[in-house]
Amino acid sequence: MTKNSTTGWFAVVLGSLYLFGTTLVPVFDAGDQVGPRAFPYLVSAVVILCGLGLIVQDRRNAKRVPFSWGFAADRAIWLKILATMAAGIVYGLVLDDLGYLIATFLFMIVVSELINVGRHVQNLVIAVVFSVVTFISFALILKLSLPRGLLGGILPF
Amino acid sequence: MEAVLHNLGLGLEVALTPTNMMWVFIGGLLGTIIGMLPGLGPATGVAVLIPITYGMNPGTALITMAAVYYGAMFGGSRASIMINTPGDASAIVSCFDGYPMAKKGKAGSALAISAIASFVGGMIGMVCLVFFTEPVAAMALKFGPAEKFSLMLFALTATITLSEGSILKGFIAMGIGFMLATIGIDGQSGAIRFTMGIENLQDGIDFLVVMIGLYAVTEVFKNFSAMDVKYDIDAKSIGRVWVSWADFKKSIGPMLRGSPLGFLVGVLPGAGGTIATFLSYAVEKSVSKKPAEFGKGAIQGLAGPESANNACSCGALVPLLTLGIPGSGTAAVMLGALMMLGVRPGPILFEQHPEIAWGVIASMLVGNIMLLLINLPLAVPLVRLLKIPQRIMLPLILGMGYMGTYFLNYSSFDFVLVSLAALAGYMLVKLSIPIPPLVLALILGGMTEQSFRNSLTIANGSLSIFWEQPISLGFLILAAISLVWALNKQKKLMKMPSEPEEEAD
Amino acid sequence: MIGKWKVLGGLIATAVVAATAAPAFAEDWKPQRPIEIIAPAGPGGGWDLLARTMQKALTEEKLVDKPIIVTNKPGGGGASGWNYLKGKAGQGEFLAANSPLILQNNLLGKSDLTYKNFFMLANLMAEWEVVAVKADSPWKTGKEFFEAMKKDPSSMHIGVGPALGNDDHIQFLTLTKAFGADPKQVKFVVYPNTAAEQIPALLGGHIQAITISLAETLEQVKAGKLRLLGVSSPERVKELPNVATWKEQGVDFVFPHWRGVMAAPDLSPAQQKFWTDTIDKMVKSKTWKTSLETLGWDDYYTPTKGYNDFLAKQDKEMRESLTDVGLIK
Repeated sequence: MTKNSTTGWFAVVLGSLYLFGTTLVPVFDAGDQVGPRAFPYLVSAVVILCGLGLIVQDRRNAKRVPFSWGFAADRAIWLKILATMAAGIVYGLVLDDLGYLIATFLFMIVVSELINVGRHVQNLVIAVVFSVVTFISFALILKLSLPRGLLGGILPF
Repeated sequence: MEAVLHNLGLGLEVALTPTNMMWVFIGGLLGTIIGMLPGLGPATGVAVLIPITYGMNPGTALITMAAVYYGAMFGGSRASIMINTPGDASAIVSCFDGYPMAKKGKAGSALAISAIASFVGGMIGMVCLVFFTEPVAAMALKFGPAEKFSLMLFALTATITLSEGSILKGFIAMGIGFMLATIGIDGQSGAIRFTMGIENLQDGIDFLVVMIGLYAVTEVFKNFSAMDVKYDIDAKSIGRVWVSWADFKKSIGPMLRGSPLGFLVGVLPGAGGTIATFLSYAVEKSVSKKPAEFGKGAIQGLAGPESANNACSCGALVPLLTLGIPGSGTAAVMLGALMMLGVRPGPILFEQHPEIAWGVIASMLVGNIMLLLINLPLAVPLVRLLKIPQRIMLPLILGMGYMGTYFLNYSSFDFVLVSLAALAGYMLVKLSIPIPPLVLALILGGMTEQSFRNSLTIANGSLSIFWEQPISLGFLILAAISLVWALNKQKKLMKMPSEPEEEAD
Repeated sequence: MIGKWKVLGGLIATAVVAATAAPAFAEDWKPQRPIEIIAPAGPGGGWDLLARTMQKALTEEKLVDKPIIVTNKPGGGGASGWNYLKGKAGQGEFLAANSPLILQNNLLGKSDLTYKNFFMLANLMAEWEVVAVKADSPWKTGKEFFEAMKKDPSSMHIGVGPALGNDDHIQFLTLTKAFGADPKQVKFVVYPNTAAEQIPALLGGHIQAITISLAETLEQVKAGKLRLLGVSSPERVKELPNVATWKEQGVDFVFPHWRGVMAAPDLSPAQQKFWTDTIDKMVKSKTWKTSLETLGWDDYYTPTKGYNDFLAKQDKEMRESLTDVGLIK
């Protein structure tokens, strides 16, 4: 598959899923005449048609370059991406319970170790400085609300 | 005319008192710094000031808040240029050419021209605010839902047709943006749409979260594949923060076009900086003799939108000062703070408290000059950031991106969204689907649908409302022209022996 | 992972409750840590103003000896912030601002939370609802307006925001019914940006009337650009003595847009007593009264017991009007 036909199929599938989702939208007696489904129907039609258009266009194109996501060739990169995403999601999950300082420190350690491989001391310094400096400037100076979590009783404010 | 000048004199007397000057400076500096951080926009900046304003008199409080608002506008594009992370929606366009300029080693020029263009836009906007408030406010009232819908349609088509590559891909990108925009509760009927049972999605997806994912975090992902490649930067030029005469000359036209455009769009309730900046970019690209340079570091693509953005923030003050209604989120926060001080802006503010109303206007003139003086020297240490190696910079960008996400809604669920958006962004880049139409459709999607449905409700179901109103018809014609023009361009591309778009990557 | 932390948090919470509930005298409880007042919305809105006004009054009157932080938790029409409060069960250091949305979200099926999930501390303030038209429009009273609407419902478009099912919407539906018109025929135009869009749309002649809270229209009315057809207060408001109440116009309809404060569920009697006493002192303080005045809010103080009865009554009434128009099936 070429890049364009991949995009085309992607659009067709996404549009169809969205079309299916639209049929699940509840309709009430109240509200305007157009209703909550009309616009989504229009959007799914545009996306599906454009997707089909790309596929057809691509068929006519004589010089087709195959496209690959590079899951195999760039495995290391994809793994790093997934690891970063996972770190970000876990960061959010533990933020309220652990508090901003601890959670941010842990997140920074993880992503630094992923990117700045092997330099543990440097990464430790980055993580400590980043979490402390941002906490002081936002929570203490600007008084934005950041979760205090486990350290709640110890922190001086 | 004389009355206006008299009032302006009165305002300057208020603005030039040492106390107020000091607060303009402090507010401007604070705003610039806050504006630079991803996720922290002018609204947060003004909000953190509220406790400080308790002790002030209302005039000084409003002046200080206006300075923060303004400063955040100046600061918003710093992050766009340096790390491809827009501070708020109106700084997205500054990424298009600002970041490529920085990558080419022209960060100094980019920062300088963005400060200068912001200054020019602010000044022209102020002049418009002083002299044309009345007629412009009257014009804004004529703008009903039909006009708004057509304007947004035009902004969307213009962005699609001017983005790189296939038009079909542009429309797909727009469609994805609309899909994301329709998630959540539909205001017109109360129906819950596409939330898949997830309660956190009921309020819809905050476009700023998606934006941080698509720009900041995706940028980090892209760099994973080219880790220790340094930017192609000339070591000598790094510290120099100034624009060459040639660059400046190129920017004059864009600034003069962007400013009035920004002001007019800013006056419209709820339209705002996003439309202004995207439209200004579209205008510059279509009048340019070398449109191919856009997106690769064309200074015009930075200067126009930057001035449009600042002129727009002047325009947004028109509804606040004349009607007492906030034209933007930031203005809403300012309104809230003023109410706590016992002052309500509105049509009678100019009569009852002319010293406050005109003091603020005059202070913004002063503030504009001050911000230019703050921002030019500030660019010097910023540019040095480029010397930090990627392997240290990237974790910091990730940290700031996620932290900024948290400040948007204080919701840890957004961390999931930002991560998914980043992955999606990386895949879209791989497929060469343009990001700008997606982001614009996501931002405008809700408004586009609502104004479409509101128009039909008002017209009792008749579609003719869109072409019977002259202003609306005008925008529809413009949208059609840009579409036809783009289709033509596309045909020419298809006839070429090899498809340039396929070879682009 | 999360489950574990939740359990840990629960254990700590239980320990705290056990430790603080132990003393024999109920008055002994005092906040042990900084107090959080949750504004379940972003900065600048009504909840945020209420939370910050409370913070100001409690601090300046020295009613608590721990610092107070205002936490903004927007989302779900208040649900995000209130869910956060619900998670703090048994902890006396957390309060949250609320409004009729806590009833409406539940009625409309947007959220499982109701007022019964919390310790409803006190109702604090109220604003009043109005119906506004352009100053040069032909309608001068509610009766004239709704008569015109009965004749030709399709020519009357009513601006409401940010979404259907809120107080503004319910006010108009109730009035329509009371004046003898058909609520189902009303053409509502929804403005997600509320007053910022509603007022220009009305002034520009795109719609014929808006249903909105009084404060949003005050400046326009004073400037002679808008006219109010009626107000939902029991008596005429001080600032606008010319505007008749709905009651005077023969419709038995008094409708406050109230905001109050609640605490986390499962508080010990000592904790409950601390807060009811403190809030009682707060609303009687000078700082609080001055703040209400500058903000143009009416005092609507009702302590716990009366507040719960009031909520039960409102819940019932709102269910009826929303069922009438088909927003609840």
